Amino acid sequence: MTLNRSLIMNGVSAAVLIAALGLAGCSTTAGVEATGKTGWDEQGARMLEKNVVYNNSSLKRDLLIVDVKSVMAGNIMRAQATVRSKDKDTLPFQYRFDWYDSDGIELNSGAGSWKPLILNGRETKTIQSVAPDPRAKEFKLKLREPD
Amino acid sequence: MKKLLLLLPIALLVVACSAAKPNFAFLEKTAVDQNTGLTWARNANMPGRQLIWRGDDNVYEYMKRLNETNYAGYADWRVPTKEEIAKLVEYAKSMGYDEKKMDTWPYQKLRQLGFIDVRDYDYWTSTRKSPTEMWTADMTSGRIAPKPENKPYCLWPVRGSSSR
Repeated sequence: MTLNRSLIMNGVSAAVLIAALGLAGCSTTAGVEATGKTGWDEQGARMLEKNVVYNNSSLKRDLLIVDVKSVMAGNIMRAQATVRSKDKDTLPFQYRFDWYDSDGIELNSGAGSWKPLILNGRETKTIQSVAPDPRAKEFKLKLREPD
Repeated sequence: MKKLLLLLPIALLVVACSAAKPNFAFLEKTAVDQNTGLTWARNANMPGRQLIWRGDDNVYEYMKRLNETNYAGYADWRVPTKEEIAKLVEYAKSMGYDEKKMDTWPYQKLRQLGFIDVRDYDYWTSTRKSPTEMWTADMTSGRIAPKPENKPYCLWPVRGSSSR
């Protein structure tokens, strides 16, 4: 009886753990995320706070985010990222830009589509996007392996 | 001759005192302080609105645009320091400040002097008080006080060095 109860408890714990891991996996892109967030320095000059997170060991091994930058075209933010293949073979992947306002609320949520891109061996390419409206102050470039 | 010798120290004192105070020569777009060498924009409300320090459409961006347009023939306009604006306020108050009489407040005195559209509000300085605050000058009371970077205040561009 005690053995049965112990087995049931272990089973429940394992199920909870698997569910938690599953949810955690869904909350981020299983690829690469490069974030560019608008900030201002002490003089008030616009600057871009950058951060790159690799959630996929295969892409981390094969792909490098060389640079992330943004420029203002009037009051509209434009983003550009430079990506480089570290692989000597062809590297296909998909990317999309998501845009957020100054409070971190996504603009046009879900409207962006994944776009395919192929890098030849050791090739470097730039990818760009324009913010959907002037509220955009932050963007996330998401990259993933093709379906 | 003796009278002349007696008057000489007094005359020197008067000259010395006036040298410490601004002495403005007003042109169409600028006011040159002939004692300090500073050139102030004659219009003390050039943006026509208040600006924030950190954020969209801020002081930095306005100053950048102003210099790009070579306003009044100059491309080195900047935000005045705390000391520079304090001196201007001090001068305005020295012309008979009385807190009960609005027409003696710094912004009024500076308008009477020849400056255009001096606002009855706080003005930015380029002097930082803390990571989130800058010193500002209140043109009604003449008080110099720190204010948060994310609140909008007036901007009065200046150029040149006050080293003289």
